Amino acid sequence: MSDYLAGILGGFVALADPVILAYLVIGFLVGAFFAAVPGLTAVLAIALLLPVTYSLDIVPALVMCAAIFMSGMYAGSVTATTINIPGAPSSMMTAIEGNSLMRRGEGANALGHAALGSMIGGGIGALLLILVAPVTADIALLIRTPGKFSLVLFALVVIVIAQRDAIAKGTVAALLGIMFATVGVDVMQPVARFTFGTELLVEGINMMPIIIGAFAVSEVLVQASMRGASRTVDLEAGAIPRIRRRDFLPTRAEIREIGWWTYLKSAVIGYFIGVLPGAGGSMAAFVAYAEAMRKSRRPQLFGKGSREGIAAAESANNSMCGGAYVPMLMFGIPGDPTTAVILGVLTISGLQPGPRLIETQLPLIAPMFAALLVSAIVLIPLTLFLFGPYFLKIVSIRRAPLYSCIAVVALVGAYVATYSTFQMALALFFGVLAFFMRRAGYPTVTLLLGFILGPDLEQYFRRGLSLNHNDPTIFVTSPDSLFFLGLTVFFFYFMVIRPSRQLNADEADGTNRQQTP
Amino acid sequence: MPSLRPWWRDIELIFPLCLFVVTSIYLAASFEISTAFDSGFVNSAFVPRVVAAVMYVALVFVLRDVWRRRRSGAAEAAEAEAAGADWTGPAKIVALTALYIVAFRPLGYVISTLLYVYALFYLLGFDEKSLLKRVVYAIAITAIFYILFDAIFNVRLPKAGGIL
Repeated sequence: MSDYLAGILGGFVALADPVILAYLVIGFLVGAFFAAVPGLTAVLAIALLLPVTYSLDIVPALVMCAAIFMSGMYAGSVTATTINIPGAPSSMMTAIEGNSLMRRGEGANALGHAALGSMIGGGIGALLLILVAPVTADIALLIRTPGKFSLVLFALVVIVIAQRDAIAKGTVAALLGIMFATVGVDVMQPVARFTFGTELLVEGINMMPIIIGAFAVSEVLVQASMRGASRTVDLEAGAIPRIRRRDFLPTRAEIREIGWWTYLKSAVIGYFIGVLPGAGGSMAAFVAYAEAMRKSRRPQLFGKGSREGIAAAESANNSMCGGAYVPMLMFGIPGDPTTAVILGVLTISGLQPGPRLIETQLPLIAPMFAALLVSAIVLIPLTLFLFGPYFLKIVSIRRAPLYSCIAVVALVGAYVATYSTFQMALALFFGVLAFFMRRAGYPTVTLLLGFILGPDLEQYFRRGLSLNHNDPTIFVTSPDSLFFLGLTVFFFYFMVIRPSRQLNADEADGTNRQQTP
Repeated sequence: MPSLRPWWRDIELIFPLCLFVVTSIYLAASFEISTAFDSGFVNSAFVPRVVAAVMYVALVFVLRDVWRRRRSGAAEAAEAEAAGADWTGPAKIVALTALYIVAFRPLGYVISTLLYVYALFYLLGFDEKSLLKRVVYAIAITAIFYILFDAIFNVRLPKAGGIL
């Protein structure tokens, strides 16, 4: 343990290197910019960074990713508060409360509370990650091959059922991802599959064109499809009062009224929701917000500008960042879209996720943990203080140059992967596919997660069977596998069957009432 | 209420039907996979076949949902929204990008990107009145990313005639 803590301290020392510090700050500002501009996301920022990681050392690349992740989660609250358009889906609850305060002329105060909540939540999430990671790694070592299969299956099922009103479409997207993952040489045998006679597909489909296509190219196509859309997001002249830096500071009385317990509880909720695959920042913010409202002494303020609501939602979604790293580092299972792309950065750099990753590669991983913590507790308040008054201008950026830049970075970035225009063509193909998926209401993130988890699912399934003479009962007799299968059934019941039964019962109840005079 | 769109624009219906075709091709191709190295029923083709089978079931559920929503009339709002979306804009960008990819190596990064960015400005409706502004912005964007990739990250970008 002492070696581990020394290694973590080494991570903070690494951040003192001016070059790595510069990457941290640049990453944070890029993430904040992308999250603050409606339509752009932190996932897109990291996706565009992905090609650059070929030329970067692993430590600055991971530090930059951590900074983008944390700032992206925080900066979504800026446009959520100022113009009622959440810069990231996880800022939906902040938009409700923050914009109400904005309309009352207390926008700066709302931004201050969002920053404070993000700072505390992000800090607690990063600390929990640092403290719990070695314990999680020890537990992860106990999981054997059949258990790993059931864990990946659990992750996939939770990712799909998290799409509450589009489970069938989520399933289709995940299966499509698995289908693309089976192209190329088989995971167990030297057999080429689905190459359709071309050598270009023998090595399989690289993760890079899928990420770039799904997040960058499709975004450009979506923008082009918006008939009559504004070329900038313009603010009403004079609608925003002049903001001074001291207006951002929350008062002691306000913080006392929210209560430290709200920050702490929301952060812990956010962390554990982050550990769940597919749950993400939106669910973290929503659950913490609902819990804060349930326990609040002034629940009537929720929906009308509650600072407590902002604090709970922002603490939870930033704390989620720490939690989302756990399954990604230990099992290669991304907790949310951003960690799915960070997983790409890890594998491109030659690091293989697993329980031994932290033990063997601590000097490379520790700076990333340190970057999460420093981003949360130093850069969030500093950014608000320095750039807060200018945040509003970000949304007035012209879209044509912005999306042209994104298109160039995306396509040239895809070329960089193998110096092949075939990768560019694949990025375009996946961009068009993701565009149609978005238009038809299919979650593109689930496609990516299916692509990432598909090979593991197949490998652990076939390996589990071959180790047990093709006897499938191993998956229900092995305790670790049984645990994850039970967990899958548990989540399926509570997230799909029970709400559906409740809905049917409510509908029947409504029909009976209508029939009774 | 009559549909607002021609049938080929009915993405909600066409997309899953296309996936039916893709899944069928995928399933047929799974029978071409060599199983020489495998023993037992779980060979290299097993998981793809299971995936294809589950895909068929999921697509049936998707189409059932579409049919149910149409019966209840809930799809009208989405249909109206889709009718308001422009499909020619994305189609032009896809065609332009395909041309860019084809021209990327023969013309080199500088010339192909300059033309691509300028054409994107045209398609995205950037400052229709000022030709000069478009040219200046296109040169600036091409130069910025040339410096970023070539000079800072040492990426070997294609050059026409070894110069540009």
